[in-house]
Amino acid sequence: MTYQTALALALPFGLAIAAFGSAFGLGRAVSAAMEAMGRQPEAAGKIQVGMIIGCALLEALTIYALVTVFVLSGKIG
Amino acid sequence: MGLEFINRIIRTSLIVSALSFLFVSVYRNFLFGLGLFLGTAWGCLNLFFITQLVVEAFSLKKPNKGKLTLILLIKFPLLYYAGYILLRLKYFPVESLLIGFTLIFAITFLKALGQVVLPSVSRGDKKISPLNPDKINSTNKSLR
Repeated sequence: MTYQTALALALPFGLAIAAFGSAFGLGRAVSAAMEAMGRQPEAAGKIQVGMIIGCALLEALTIYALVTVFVLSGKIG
Repeated sequence: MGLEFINRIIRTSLIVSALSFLFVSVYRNFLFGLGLFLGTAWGCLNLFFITQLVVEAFSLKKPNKGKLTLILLIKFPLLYYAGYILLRLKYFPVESLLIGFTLIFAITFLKALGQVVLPSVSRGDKKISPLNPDKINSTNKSLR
């Protein structure tokens, strides 16, 4: 197996794992935030801010993976 | 800590990236500095649209469907396509875009840390100075 073949196989898998992890984390974070907002509607503002920052951080991880894939895909073939 | 915390993060990130752009342009490379600034601007726009999306979609009142659709259309195809174009142009170094994109999270971390370490300062009160603990102002005296 050549370096390019290994890279071509690994990149989509890596991106898929990153997307899966990020989606799983986002789902858990938003579900927990929804539950907390349902239990304590008066604290909704604070919960929303935490959720927004968490969502941004989680999304950033996928974007890093995507950028890495874009950069490395230039080395295939 | 409300939504103004996020607005302050965006404002501080843009100011820091503008200053970094000036320094990096002078001392390293103009394109690296511009890439850093554009990465931060992209991250700020992303955070802004996430905020609008969450506020509109997950608020306790009924969501405005037109506004929600507009935010979704701007954030997912347009903003992401702009990021893709920035990367594919190969005009700016990828490292500069990533550093700029990461800057916003560093500032978020520092601001959150500041709120934990200096809660009274973030509230606007005067705090007992750690260098001079005997000097207590009237607010703190009343609390004691």
